Amino acid sequence: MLILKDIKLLLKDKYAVLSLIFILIFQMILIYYTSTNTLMKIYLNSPEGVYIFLSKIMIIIFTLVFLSNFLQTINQFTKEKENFLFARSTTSGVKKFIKSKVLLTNLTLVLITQPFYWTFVLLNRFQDSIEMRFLFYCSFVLLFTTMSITVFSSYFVLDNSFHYNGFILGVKKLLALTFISGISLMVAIITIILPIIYIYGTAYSIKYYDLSNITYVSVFSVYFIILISSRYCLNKVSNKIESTEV
Amino acid sequence: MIKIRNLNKIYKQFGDFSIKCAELDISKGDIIGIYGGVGSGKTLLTKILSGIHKKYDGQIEYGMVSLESYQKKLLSYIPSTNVLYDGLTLNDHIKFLASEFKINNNEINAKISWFDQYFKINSDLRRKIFSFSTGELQFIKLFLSLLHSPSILIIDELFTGLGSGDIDIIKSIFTVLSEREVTIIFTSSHLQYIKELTIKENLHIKDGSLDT
Repeated sequence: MLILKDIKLLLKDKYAVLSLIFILIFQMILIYYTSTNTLMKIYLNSPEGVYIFLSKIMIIIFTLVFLSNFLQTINQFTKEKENFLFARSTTSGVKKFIKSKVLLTNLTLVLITQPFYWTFVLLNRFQDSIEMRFLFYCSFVLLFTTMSITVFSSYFVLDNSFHYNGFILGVKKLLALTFISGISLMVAIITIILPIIYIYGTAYSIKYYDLSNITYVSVFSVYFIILISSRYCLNKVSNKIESTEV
Repeated sequence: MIKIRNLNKIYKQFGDFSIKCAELDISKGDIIGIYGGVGSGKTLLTKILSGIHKKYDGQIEYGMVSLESYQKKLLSYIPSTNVLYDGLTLNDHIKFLASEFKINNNEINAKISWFDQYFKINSDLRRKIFSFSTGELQFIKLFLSLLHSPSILIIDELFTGLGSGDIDIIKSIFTVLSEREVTIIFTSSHLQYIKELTIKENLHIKDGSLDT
């Protein structure tokens, strides 16, 4: 099982494990703080307060996704030597090795973010102020963003790193990846997520209870196109690596 | 069993260096040593023969089928470098390869016991790959490559890190494999070691051309 090998590789890297533990502790502290702080409870009594708070939580979660994605992607690919020479000698081949690594990164990020998001939502009883449909929408946006960022950064690392003995990114390329992912993340947050949360909040305060179906469909379509494009790029680079003679 | 005809492969990235072999026939159970100096093309030749490098002119047939359609399950390639995962243990690698090649536990245990007669691996199953010396790693790679019982074994730079005492161990393992009709092709720069191991003949490679 390829995924088991990758899980073992992840668990045997103490820096990767320590970072994941750190992120989990950070999340638990946040959850504890918000659920016990009295001022926070008063703030969360108004629907507007809930929406603003949800926006902030989304930003925190996206930052966590961004950081862990970096860590996971680079950690996964630096373990491979000589353009996946080991993979080439097995029955799976390069493509399946890459898929398994991307899948593990996706799973790790989903496990970090989704339980955190839903714990926040349920512990602070957001469902009393916001329709469940909208809360699910935020959860799906988070899921799609996680998947897109993971696939895109895997593509970037594979396409731009020096991959003879481990996929190690140079400093310039690492900065480029930070810049590209950071900018895309900010654009996603600023243009899609926050305005929708804001519009929804404002609409709620003037007694419009829901976003239109067209808004939901268009947002999901944009995300779907981004995800498909990233997957296409990743497949292209996987084929390129497979046909590269090492 | 292995038939090579008019093999020609040009590597533009190495200044139009080419690998050539006009005609070569290797039978089942043969142990063939290929020797040549630094930069003679030994590694590139092993990569072509093992299917790692796929584009070439000419014909390579294993049995009655072409190299492209020859199953990876029937061939094993040991590169000169360490491509195993440094952070994983020997046991992790065994489990991974067992799942890849669908080998059951009894077969794995039998393989470990058999190989343990020549080189102690039973006590090293929990050791991580980075903790093995170059010579030990050579045996580990040999063991892992034999896990799925290949019919053809291709080894690049077999003697890296091995001492003269180890050559006798390798010879014993090769003899058993040859009796089981496993064809072994290996390369080295040390002709004296190759002579000790080969059963049929030694081949010389110079500037990419294989003399047969």
